[in-house]
This record gives sequence, structure tokens and C-alpha cells, in this order.
Amino acid sequence: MRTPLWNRSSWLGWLLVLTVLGSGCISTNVASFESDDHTGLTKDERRLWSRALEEQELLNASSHIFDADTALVRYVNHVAQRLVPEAATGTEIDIQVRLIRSPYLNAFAYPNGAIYVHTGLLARMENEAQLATLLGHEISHVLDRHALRNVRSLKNKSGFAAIFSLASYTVGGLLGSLIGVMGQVGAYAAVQGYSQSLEADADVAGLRLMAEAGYDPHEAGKLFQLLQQDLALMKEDEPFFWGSHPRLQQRLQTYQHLLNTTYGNQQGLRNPEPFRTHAERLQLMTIEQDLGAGRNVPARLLLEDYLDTHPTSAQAHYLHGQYYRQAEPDADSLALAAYAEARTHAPGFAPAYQAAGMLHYQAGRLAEAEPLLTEYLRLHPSASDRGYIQQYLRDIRQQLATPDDSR
Amino acid sequence: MARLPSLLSLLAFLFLLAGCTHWSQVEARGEMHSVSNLYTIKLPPHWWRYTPDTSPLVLTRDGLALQQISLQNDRVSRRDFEFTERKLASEMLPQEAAEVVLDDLRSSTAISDLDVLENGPTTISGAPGFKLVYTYHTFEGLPKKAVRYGILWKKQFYDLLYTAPARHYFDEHLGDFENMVASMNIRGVE
Repeated sequence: MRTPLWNRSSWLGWLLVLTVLGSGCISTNVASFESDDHTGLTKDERRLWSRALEEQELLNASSHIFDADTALVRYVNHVAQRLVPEAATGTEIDIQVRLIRSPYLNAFAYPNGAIYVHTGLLARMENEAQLATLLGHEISHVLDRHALRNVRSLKNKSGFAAIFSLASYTVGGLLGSLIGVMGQVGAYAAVQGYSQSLEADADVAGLRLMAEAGYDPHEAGKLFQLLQQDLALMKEDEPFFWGSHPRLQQRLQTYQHLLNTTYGNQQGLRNPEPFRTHAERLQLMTIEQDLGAGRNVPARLLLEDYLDTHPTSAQAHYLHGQYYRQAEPDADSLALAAYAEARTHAPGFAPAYQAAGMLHYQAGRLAEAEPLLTEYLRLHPSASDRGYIQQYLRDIRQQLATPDDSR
Repeated sequence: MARLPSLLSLLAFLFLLAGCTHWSQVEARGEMHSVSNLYTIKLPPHWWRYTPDTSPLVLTRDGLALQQISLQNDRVSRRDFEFTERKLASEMLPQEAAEVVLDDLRSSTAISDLDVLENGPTTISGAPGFKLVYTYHTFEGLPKKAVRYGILWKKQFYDLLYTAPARHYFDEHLGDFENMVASMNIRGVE
């Protein structure tokens, strides 16, 4: 159940954002940080940045930030720095990428250059050029000050309409749920995206950044396809980092046109190996999170890819079993086979004993369940679910000790 | 000084109550029959109850930010969670139902730093269920603690939650919640 107070606070937040920006009609034409015409931050921009910074501090201090793998974070930031044009260095922005521990395919940028990429998106990419496409898009939003332009555009609407359109998203739905973790400025960038023209501008500018940095622009379209596939699998609308306008298919076509014309003959780096070395370790975590979030089909697809390259991974076979239990209730035999495979590759891997034991117990195969659950507790004596397992074992032993005709 | 936030919160809460018809104070006896007549329960006396007779039942003593009890019961097939697409099923073991609840919490973007302190079997009104004790941080960084009981019984899921700031408030009113849980009588349980 959602705690209702958290959501309501976001109404106030948006009212504040819109109110503090002052009154009157303000131009949405602002010079890019790359431009010679850029003369520093405007007053309303400073306020926006200040609010963004507060949100970032809360987000960065939370467990949602994935910083366990410092080499991976360094690598992603190294790719980002390659994309920042010379003209933008020395300006107020500071491009810093952080990872959010989430299976969803999402990324967003704050106006000051803080970029957040969900680990689930990284886990599904194939190479560095695709990462550069994503980062190029987000960096373009920052360079061209799209957040400021967006807020000014909202401000220029009639007050009621602007507030209503924002507040309506806070009642529930995806933006409401994301506000908890990333605040209003971040959630708006992540879910609502920017206007059709700003998103299209970021597509074009981002592609230019990655191509100028030496990456293969023909990898760019594959990232769109990845997202499109995920949306189709989850039967979701298109709310994520690409924004909802223009529609994904239309943007794919625009990309394809650019690739056929401007970048027709241009080749470049794809760097699959360094990318895989760094990002591969996110895959098992993402599969586990996908299953936890009930994203069964994306979990299965990633699992199948992972098992192709890691056929002896006990953890992957165990998760395959979990997938069968969760998504295909009539496929107990497949789940049991996956758990057995996990035990074969790692005889000390306790979760595979627990899961198989519980499956047998539920099906009434008590003689099969007992040794598996006993072994589980032997391997993992401090298991957090020890109380349940001990209860099952008491029940099993009592039933097995009772003659059949009296059961 | 430590009591100041509590007093301010209480004042704000009472101020809101003054203009609001949706809250009423629980009487001394506190006995309540569910609308669907599926259970009876004794609510903690003098707590404030959100009165619309819809699930979940929400209670607080000094304001929702300081302590909150909720009791939600739904048909298993109709219970949706906010952050996971996973579903409950009537034939699930209590442990499996607890895992679905935990998956919802782990998938949540509204809280962080979830730490499960206890996850074990229990019974309420004689029906088998689970008990979870966990801590987490709100997005604003406030550390909170929660106790949650779940019962799957005759195609119904009963979800009882007590949550409060981990420091001071949680322990202060946990007893009221535990007494309420102990008083629950689910119809048809032997």
C-alpha cells in the first residue's frame, strides 16, 4: 500500500517550483553551454539547479545508488567524458554519471549534468557504442539546457493548466512512484521526458556527440530496438528516458534516416569486450530484480542470453528455476531440473536445495523434500527463513512417521 | 526538545481533524466487525480511525507521520501490489506470500535501505501466516521500522501493518498493535 502523504507532498513541491520561478512570460530560447553566447546561469536556472541538487543529495545517499562496483562506475564516466565537447568544458556543468539499482530500462539527466542510468538498461546493452548513444542523448539535454526550457515553457502556460497537468501525474502512476526516489525534477525528466522537439533535438545532438567521439553511429538504432522490445514485452506505454513524444517508432525512423544519410559511410568503435567485462556482472542482479518486480519475460530473455555464455553458473540455473516457479506454474519439472543443474555445478549452493525442497513439500512429495530441506539448513544454518523450514521439517517428519492409512 | 516534533505533529494533526469529517476516535471498547463480516478485531482505544468503510483500515494515534496501523483484506486474486507485478495465490505457503510482499518492498522506489530483521511463521486467530519485521528509510531519509503480519485464509489475504519512526515512536506504540493483532478473530478458523 502506498503511504498517501508522500504523494501529496509532491503537489506542494510542484506548486513551489512553479511559484518560485517568478511571474511573467520568459523566453524559452537559451544558449547552449557549447555556445559562445552562453553567459552563465540565469536566476531561475540557479533555483532549478538548487532544487535538483537537493534531490540528488537525497538520492545519492540512498541504497538505490549502485556504487558497489567502482570500476564499472569509473568506466561509464570515462565513456561520458569522451562525449563532452571541448566547448562545454570549463562551464558550470559537471557531467557525472551514477547508476541506479533498478531493472527498468531508464535513464535521466538533471540540469547540472548529473546523469542517472538504471542498471537494468546497462545489463541489456551489447557494447560501448550503445552506452555512448544513451549518454550522448542525456548529455545533449544538459548542454542545451532542456530542463530550463521545459520549466519556462510550463511557466508560460496558464497557471492552472500547468499546475493541473503536473499535479495530475502525482496522484498515482509511474511518475508518482518515481517521485519517491528521484524527486520532482528528476522524475519529470525520467518519465515525462521533454517536448517532442527537445527530444528530437537530443536524438540528433546525441548521435553527433557519439559519432564525433569515434563510436559507430549504426549502433544507435539498436538501443531503440532494445527499448521497443522491452515495452512490447511488458505491454507498457512509452514513458521512459526517450520520453513519450515523438513515438518510439517515429524516432527509430528518424535515426534510420540520419544513419542512411549523414552517417551513411561512417564506421567507428563498438568496443564490445571492455563493455562486457564491466557490465556483465549486472546481469544476474538484473534478472533477480526482474523476477522480484514480476517482469518475467524480460528476466527469461536475459537469463537465456546469460546461460548461453555461462552454462555452468549455479546462480543462473537457480534463477531459471525461480522463473519457472513464478511464471509457469505447471512447469514444476523444469524448475526442479534447473535446481538440480545448479546443485550439480555448485554442490554447496544452498538456495537450490531450499527451492527444490519447498517445491516437493508443496506437491506432497515429503520423502523427496526432507533431505533437501535438511541439507539446506546444514549448508546455511543462519538462513533468515530458518523458522519456516524447521516448521516444514517438523510437519514432514510427523507425517512420515505416521502410517499411511491414518494420514 | 525531543518531544517537540511530536507535539507539533500532534497539533497539526488535531488542527486537520478539526476541519475533517473522515476521522473518528476509537471508543474504549474498540470492537469492530469487518464490513464483509469476515473478521472481528479490537482496535486500540483512543486512536484515530480513518472512517470510510473501505479497505484498508487506517489508524493513527498522533498523526500518520508518527505512527500508522493499516489492515487490508482483499480476495487473493484481487490484491495488487504497487511495485511488483507478482501476484498472490491461495495455495501459496505463508513463506511464499511473505516473499511477494518483500519483493514489492525491494522493488519500491518510495523507500530505501530495506533491512529485513525477521521473517518467520506465525498464526493469527489460529490461521497460519507470516510475520515480517523490517527497517527502511523514507526518501527524506527518516529511518522507520515496521511489523507486518500476513494471512492467506479461504481465498482472502489479511495484511496488517504497523510502521513508525524507528527511534522512540516505534517501541512506544508497538504494544497497541500487537494487542490488536492478538484480538483478531477470523471467521471460520478453528
